[in-house]
Amino acid sequence: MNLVRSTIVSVLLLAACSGATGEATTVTVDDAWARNNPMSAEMGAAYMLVTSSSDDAIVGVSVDPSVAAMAELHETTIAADGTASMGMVMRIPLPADETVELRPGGYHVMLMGLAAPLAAGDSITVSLKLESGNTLEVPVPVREDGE
Amino acid sequence: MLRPLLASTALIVSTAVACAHDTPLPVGLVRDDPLRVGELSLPHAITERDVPLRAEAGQVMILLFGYLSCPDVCPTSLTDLRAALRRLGPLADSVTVAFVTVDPDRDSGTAMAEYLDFFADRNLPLRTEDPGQLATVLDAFLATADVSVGDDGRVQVEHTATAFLIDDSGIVAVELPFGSGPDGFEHDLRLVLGGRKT
Repeated sequence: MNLVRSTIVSVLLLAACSGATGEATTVTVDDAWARNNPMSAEMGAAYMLVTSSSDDAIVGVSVDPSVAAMAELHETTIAADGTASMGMVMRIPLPADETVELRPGGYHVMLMGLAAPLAAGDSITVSLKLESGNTLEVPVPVREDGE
Repeated sequence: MLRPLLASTALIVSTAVACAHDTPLPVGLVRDDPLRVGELSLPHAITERDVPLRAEAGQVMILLFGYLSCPDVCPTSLTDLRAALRRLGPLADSVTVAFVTVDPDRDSGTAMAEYLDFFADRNLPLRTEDPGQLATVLDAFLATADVSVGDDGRVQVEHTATAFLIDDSGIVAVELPFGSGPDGFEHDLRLVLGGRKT
């Protein structure tokens, strides 16, 4: 799976709490993309690489209703016997300085009730809510996966 | 609930690690005693005619289990497969993609056909409303599927994510695990097609 390094979102998050020393947290989102899909698909998925300079977590996600009725954090797991299952997760941990992958077959943003099929060349915005209280607005280009 | 989940039996694993000899090995799994599925059939989702689960003469059928509202696993496998088919060029005319819905209550034949046309020209949407028939097919592939409704009313679907490469005698030649990618599909399709007399 070769990811196109197309989108880099680097957000400087200043510590919001009073009494903080002013040390800044940087959350970087790289390689964000969503798969284009056929008319009959009502669900979509968005993927990205997320790195935080300090311990944090993704605790929520949303998209504009013009894109999809709802967005959730999901995780696919593949059992040893090849069985795939998927479930909603409330929290994706972001350990400091570790790149966390949202990728096919793992964590992903599930787009539920697509208003229209995602077409290659389009771009959508995914809002990630962080445990630190900040929100990341991530531009997510839509592309055809597989190459 | 379509059927209880079934633990798969142990697989003989072949790897594509570079070897000292020249015979290429498949990326996927090959059994000493391969699965034989050619005597089984499923209804075409549109025409409802019975489709035998074996490739046409000299060709390969790739069979996947899935469902249309699957946002991650199914489109990942199908896009990887599409990329591999493009790389194969004219050889792709010898490959048919069969997609068996494990969620026939929600997947209409028309939607399945449109969905599959997006990924492969030569495709077979397969759909049965008979849980027993689906269970029989799943058993033959040592595959599992389960559709359940959670306490929150949500439909949860689990299913085997392996891609099965079936030859024209109805033998599963290779079983490609999820995540084999375009390279895995291309490699093993060339291998299986190369072994056919065309």
